[in-house]
Amino acid sequence: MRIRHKLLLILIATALAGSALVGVGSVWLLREATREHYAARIRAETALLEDRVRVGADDYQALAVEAGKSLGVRITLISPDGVVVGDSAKGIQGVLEMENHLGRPEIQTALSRGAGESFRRSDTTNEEYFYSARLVGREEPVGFVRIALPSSWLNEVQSRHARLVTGIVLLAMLLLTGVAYAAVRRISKPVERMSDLADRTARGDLDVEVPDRGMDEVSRLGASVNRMKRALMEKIGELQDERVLFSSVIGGMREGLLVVGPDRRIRLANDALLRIFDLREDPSGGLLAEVVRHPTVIRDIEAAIEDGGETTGETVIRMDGPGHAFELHVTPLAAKEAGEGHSVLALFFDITRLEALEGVRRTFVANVSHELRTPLTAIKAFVETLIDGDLQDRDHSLEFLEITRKHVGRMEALIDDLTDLSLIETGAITLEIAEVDASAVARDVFEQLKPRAVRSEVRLDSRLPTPFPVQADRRRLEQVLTNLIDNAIKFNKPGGEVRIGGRIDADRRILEVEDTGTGIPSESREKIFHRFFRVDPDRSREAGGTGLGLAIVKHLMRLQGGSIRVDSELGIGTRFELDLPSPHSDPG
Amino acid sequence: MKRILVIEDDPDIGLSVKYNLERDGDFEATVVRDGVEGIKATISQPPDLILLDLNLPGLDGLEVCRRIRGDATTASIPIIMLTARVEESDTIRGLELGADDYITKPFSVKELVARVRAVIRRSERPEQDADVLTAGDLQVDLAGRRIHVGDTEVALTRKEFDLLVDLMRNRGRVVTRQRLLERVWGYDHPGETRTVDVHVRQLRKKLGAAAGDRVETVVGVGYRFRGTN
Repeated sequence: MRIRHKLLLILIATALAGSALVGVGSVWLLREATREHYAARIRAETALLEDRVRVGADDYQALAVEAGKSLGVRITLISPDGVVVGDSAKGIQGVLEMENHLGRPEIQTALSRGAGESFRRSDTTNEEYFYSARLVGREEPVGFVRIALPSSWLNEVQSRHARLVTGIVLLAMLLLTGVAYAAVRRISKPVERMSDLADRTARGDLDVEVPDRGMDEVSRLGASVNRMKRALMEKIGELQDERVLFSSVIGGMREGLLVVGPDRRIRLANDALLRIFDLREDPSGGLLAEVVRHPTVIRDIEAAIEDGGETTGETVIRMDGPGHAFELHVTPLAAKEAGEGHSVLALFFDITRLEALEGVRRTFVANVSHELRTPLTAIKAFVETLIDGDLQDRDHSLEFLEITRKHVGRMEALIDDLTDLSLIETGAITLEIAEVDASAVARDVFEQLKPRAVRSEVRLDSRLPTPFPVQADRRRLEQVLTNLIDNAIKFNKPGGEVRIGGRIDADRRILEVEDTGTGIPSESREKIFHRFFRVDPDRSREAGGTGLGLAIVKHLMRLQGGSIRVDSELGIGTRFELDLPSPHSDPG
Repeated sequence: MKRILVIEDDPDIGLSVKYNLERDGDFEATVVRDGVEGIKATISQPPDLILLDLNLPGLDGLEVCRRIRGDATTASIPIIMLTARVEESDTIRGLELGADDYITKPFSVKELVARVRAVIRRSERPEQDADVLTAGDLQVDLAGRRIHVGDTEVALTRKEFDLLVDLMRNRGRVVTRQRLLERVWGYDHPGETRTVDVHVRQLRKKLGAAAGDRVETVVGVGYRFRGTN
């Protein structure tokens, strides 16, 4: 039931009760007043009639009829002994037949006190009457006069009064109801609006306010409600901001995040975790063992729930698919109550890349150690052999020393290349990029390698236009060309040729180093730039190669803003293309 | 004169090994540079011992070892592995495939020659049939299952006794923990090798300092009994 209806009901009930009381009271009062009024009139009329009768009359019947007609009432004249001598309601014959009236109560009272009244049903006419009687002649009784007023008449007056009162009361009620309704509405409306506001606020509509102007309690309440709502909205706003921040933080995390409650149900999981465990939807609320089907993860988390133990990174888990490794960190959160078990935060760090890098590093170290150990083994063996007393055998000694020198050279070259590679990879070398005449650089390299080419019966041929300006670091370009041309001589055949040429391609300058050597099998063509990859390990080592030359070349080309690609045909030869910027191109 | 086959891809290392083996005139060495040639040479003219580089181009050393051991005519030729790898796993695999010993690069040529002599001597004089094994003042009576160090008898448990006998029969040679587990305990579960370590420790304690030290630990691989008859 609405408050407005309650109030209204109470008001109307109160008004009704009040009105009814007033109505009944009024009717009763009016009735008494009316009766008194008529009694007084009848009394006066009776006294008047008494005077007439005292004078005396010949025909009492005629007197009764005449007076009854003029007064509009029933008049009865009675002799002192109770015999009716005249009655306006009867004919003469009727009067004679009337019984003795001395026993009537009003007559008895009049006999003793001079006047009497009664209100009763008439035995004669069988009607209700108000009787008023007087004794005529106190000392010497002449008779009684009695006036009777039928009560029906009185009743009619009274019921007219009652109707009037009822009408007035009803009208008042109607008016009161209207006023009450308006008043109730005025009080209840703000209350209802407040309740409505609370409802809408709860549903999330935050833009409504209750009217709060005015000085009464309801307005003050409205103002309080508005203040409360604004404070609430501010708090909600802050909470929402925090929530948004929180979810974007955990959503943006690269690490998988999982919070599990003491009941082993998932409380929170971020997107990264969904990806790690290949989950389609948010697993919150699900059981740990059903969501994460990984025994190690479950074991660690269970342990943390049970005893609050922490594991940091000792556990590495591997998921299906190539190279998906994660380091698991499990941290128990504070337990709500002692002995209740902990909530647990589990973080999954992707160490796939780290492991891959570690693998590359390990392979590299193994390769370096192998490459160093082989010459070292030879050096150690020959030095020992020489110390053991073969110095007398001069030919052998010289041969062994020559071999030793060769291996020392190999180690030296390897260490040089490793140093270069390390400097390049850590960005520790500085380049001096400038306009360089590549044809001059090629000429110098040819000059330097000529003895080796002659030994290998390989012809060197430069077809570069002179000059052929490129944008490069002179020293590094020389290193690149030395490496490539040295290889081209090493893997050539007697009577073969090494050619260097050049062409212009828009704002790029292309240097071509071509040989007529053994060529590179297609499956090895990309690998030749990898560290320690050798197409023909024996021949490479024999020729003093370290297996790092082309890796260095590739890095140097990249540092100079260029690139290198290879083309080869088995048995025909190999061609390297070096792509460098032209001197006047924009370096950016 | 004993014939030694050297399978080694680096010609200079091969040359130094050949030179040192042949210097005293006890051995004649042939050097081949890859596994396929090595197997061919082994079959065509079985040598008295093979020095096998594990890190070979093409067919790798372990595979060569497996094939030589797999062929009945070559199965009993002693093999010493030369390895440039620090990885223990390949060495252990090689020993399990039946290689007799190994030597890590860079090695001392003198040590290499000494190992070659030791392995050849053992292969010529198998101790399997002897009733008594000796090493210094350590005496093992196989029939009576009794052990003396000098004049003092030492009481060993059954496993300790079997362990000692197994190591002595393979003296000079590395025996992997896995091998010992299989032969002494009859297990073939990998990962139970802690058992072996515990027994070796007990054995050394009971044998005392001089005899106990003959049981050498080869780090990461297994154990070797040092000493001649």
